[in-house]
Amino acid sequence: MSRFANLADKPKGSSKPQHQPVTPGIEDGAAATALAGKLPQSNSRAGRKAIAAYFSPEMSLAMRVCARKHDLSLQELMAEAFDDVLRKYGQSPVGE
Amino acid sequence: MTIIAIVSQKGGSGKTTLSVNLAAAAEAAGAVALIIDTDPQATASQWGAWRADKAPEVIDSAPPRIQAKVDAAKAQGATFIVIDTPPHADSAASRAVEAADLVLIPCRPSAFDHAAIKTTVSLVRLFEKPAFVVFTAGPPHAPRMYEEAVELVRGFGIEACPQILPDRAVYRHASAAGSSVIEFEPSGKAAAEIASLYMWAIAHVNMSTTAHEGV
Repeated sequence: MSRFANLADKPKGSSKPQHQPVTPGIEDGAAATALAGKLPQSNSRAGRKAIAAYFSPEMSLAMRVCARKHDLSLQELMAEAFDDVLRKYGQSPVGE
Repeated sequence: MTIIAIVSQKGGSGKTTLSVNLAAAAEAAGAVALIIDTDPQATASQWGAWRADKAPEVIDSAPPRIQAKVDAAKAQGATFIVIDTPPHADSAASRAVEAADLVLIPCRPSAFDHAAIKTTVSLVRLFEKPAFVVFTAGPPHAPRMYEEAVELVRGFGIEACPQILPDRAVYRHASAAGSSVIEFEPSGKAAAEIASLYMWAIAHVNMSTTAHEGV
C-alpha cells in the first residue's frame, strides 16, 4: 500500500510489522539520525574539548553553506579557521 | 522528475500547507508525488498519518539524509518531490535547497519579514537555484497591495511567483480532515489556484532544465 514507507527515518504508525526488519539502506538512515540525535556518545569526542560560540543566523548559515560547498564538516571548517587566526596572530597552528 | 524545496526562515508562512497541497496537486495531475518532511514538528507527517498514507505520501528525514532519500525515491518511481523545511533551520534549509530544482518561499504579503527573506535569498544565491516568493494567506482581492509586495520582493533581488495563494477557509477545513484542497473541494477557488501554481512550477522547471541542457 505505502510506496515510500521504507524511506522514512521513523517507522510509521500505519506501516505493518513486516517493515520492521530493516534493509541495509534504512539502517544507514537510522544510524544517521541517531548520530544527529545523540552525538555525545560518539568516540570522535573522546579526549577532546568543545569550543562553542553564539553568532547571528546569517553567520551560522554562511558557515554551514561554505562547509557544504567545499565538502567539509563544520568541524573541519572551524579547525581551518582557528589555524588561520592562530597564524594571523603569530602563533603556531595546531591543526586538530 | 521535479524537486521543489519549500523554504522560509519565518514560521507560520504556510510552508506545510503549500507543501502538502502542491504535492496533492501533482498527484491529481498524474505524478507520483512524495513529501519529505524535515521539520521536527512533523506537521506534514501528521497530515500523512491522518490520511493513512494515502498518496501523496509523507516521509520524514534528517537533513543529512535528504539527498539520499530523493535519490532512493526517484528509483522507487517518484516523479514529483516536495521538501518541507522548518523555520530557522540552517541545516535542513540548505540541504533542501541543494537538492531542489526550484525553491518556493511562501510569504504572507501583510507580514513581510525582511530579515527572513534576506537570509533565504542568500541561501538560494549560494546554491544558484531558481527561487520565487509565493504570496500566501493574503486577501484574495487586493491588487494594489500585491503590486507593492512584488516591488518589495524585487528589492531583495528575487522575483515573486505570478500565482498567488490567498487565504481561503478551505485550507483549514481540508487540513483538519487530513485532506488537500483539491480533494476536499475539487471545484473550489483554492483548488484552481494550487493547480495553476503546480502547472507553473512544472513549466518553470522544465524550461530551465531544457535551457541548461541546450547550453
